[in-house]
Amino acid sequence: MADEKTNQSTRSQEESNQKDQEKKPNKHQISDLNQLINTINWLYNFQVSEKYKGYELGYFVTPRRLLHSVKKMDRAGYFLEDISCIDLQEGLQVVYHFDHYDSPGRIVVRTVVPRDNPSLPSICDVYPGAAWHERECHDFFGVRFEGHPNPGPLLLDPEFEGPPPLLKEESARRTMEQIHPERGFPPGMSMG
Amino acid sequence: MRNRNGTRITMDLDRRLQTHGDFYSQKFQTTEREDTLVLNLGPQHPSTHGVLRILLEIDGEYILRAEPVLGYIHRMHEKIAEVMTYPQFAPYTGRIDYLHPLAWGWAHIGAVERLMEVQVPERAEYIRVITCELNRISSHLLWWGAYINDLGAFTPFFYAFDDREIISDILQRIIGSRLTFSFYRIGGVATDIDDRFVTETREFCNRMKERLKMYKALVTDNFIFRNRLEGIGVIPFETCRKYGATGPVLRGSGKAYDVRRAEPYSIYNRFDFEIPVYDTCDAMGRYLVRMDEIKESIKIIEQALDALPEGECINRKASKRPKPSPNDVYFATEGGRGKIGAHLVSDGGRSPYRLKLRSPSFSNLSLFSEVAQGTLIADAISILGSLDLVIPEIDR
Repeated sequence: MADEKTNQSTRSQEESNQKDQEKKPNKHQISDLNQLINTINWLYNFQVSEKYKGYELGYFVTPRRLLHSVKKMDRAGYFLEDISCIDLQEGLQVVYHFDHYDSPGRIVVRTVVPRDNPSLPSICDVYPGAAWHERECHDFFGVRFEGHPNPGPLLLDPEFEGPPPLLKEESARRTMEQIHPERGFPPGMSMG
Repeated sequence: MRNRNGTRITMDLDRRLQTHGDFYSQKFQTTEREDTLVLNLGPQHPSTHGVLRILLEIDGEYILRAEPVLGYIHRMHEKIAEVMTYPQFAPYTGRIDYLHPLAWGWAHIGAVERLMEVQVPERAEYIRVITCELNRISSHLLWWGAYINDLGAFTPFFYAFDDREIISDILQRIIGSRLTFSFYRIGGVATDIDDRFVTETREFCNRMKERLKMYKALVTDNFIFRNRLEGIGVIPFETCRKYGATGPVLRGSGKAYDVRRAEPYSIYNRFDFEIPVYDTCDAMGRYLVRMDEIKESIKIIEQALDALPEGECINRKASKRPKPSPNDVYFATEGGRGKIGAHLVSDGGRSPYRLKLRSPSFSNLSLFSEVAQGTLIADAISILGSLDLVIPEIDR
């Protein structure tokens, strides 16, 4: 897992997105996928600090690389603990927790999807147990999982209408930096 | 039957027969075969232990497909946590899994303590271990009685409740409630234990050891019972891994994984106890794991009572209205059904920014549709019982 790196192939896209960034009125809103990739490329493979507890290792991956990382976890013999999600200003941070039966140590794989088009590949082919976790995540946060074998509401009423219940109000949303201040964002990098 | 105006209400039978059930039944009914029957197991059936509903497509008595339908007791604890302060949410954890509430309380309080870096006094750690293990025994006892009740034997239920009653009495004296315990506080426990608690617990441990022998003679060695369990509901280890199964379900499939040993929290690494493992992968394996776990819990309780130190039962410096610094932590405990996890995210406020609760029954039940394929309905009940489901924990 040590070679899990995600900062590939986005240098040229970074430049092309400069123009798009200027148009954005809300500087924390990231809706363009490429821009998102730029943002989270800074965060990949962060080291686990003293304050970061309960985890052995953490990785940030792009939504495109997610399936690849999950397959790697599967080959290494890990099991999926749960799929969590955090509503942040940058977008929805989807958190996959993995653990190992023989050599315990929690590994967390994180990815961020834009809020106006929250879409991720489903990992049900790799971990069939993820099916319910993904449905739950869709119920509570509205994240769509492409290629899910049996989508639909799991815990919420099928007739429930309204926004996904765990989404935050605009004023209550925090940025990644506010949640993880110790993780050291590179200087000169504004989130967006 | 007449309505308020006196006009007769007739039941339109034709229209009733044309209905094809609710959202889930309709979604489930896409099948190529026409000679099969779609049957709803639950949500009010006694053997589903609460409001679990399972849609079955059956051919005679054989299950072709099974799909659990959840959400009948969904209360959105994760949202409740976000609108409450950290200590305010503690009583809610007892309502998630009503059979082993202390393990859930521990997962929540443990996550908050990990976030705040609070030290817990030695005595409090011992009290936590003793009460949590007592609660684990009572959880397994209720499962034992209810499972055998599902399989058609009514008497063992009363034996189990006879013993469970003693634990309820012991815990009621110090905690105040008999079912939905909320005992752990940030930095310790709510009340100290006294000599009477210690003697009563010791008496219970001695009694329980004798009772387990009787349980074995009464139920475990009964050949009718064994035939209902042996070779039924085989869950290979790889299936467990793919579905993230933990607890006795996993240990019954030959993997000695226990959070108390794998990720030792509190003071569990000080105790000498075994992790029961059976590699038969069937319902009998899971049954025997739980029966052995009662013995191991007794061992832990006795060791903890022997080494119980004097001192404070709560860290007086721990804030009662905590405002932890921004971070996110994960804390896992071993509940009666498997790995309980709390993923807690703080933004520096008085209430959590996000609390994700990992429930072990949720993952354990998700493998049911794969395991139930091709089994008899009566065996499916046996498989469901052997998973030891607590529905409020699945729905949260």
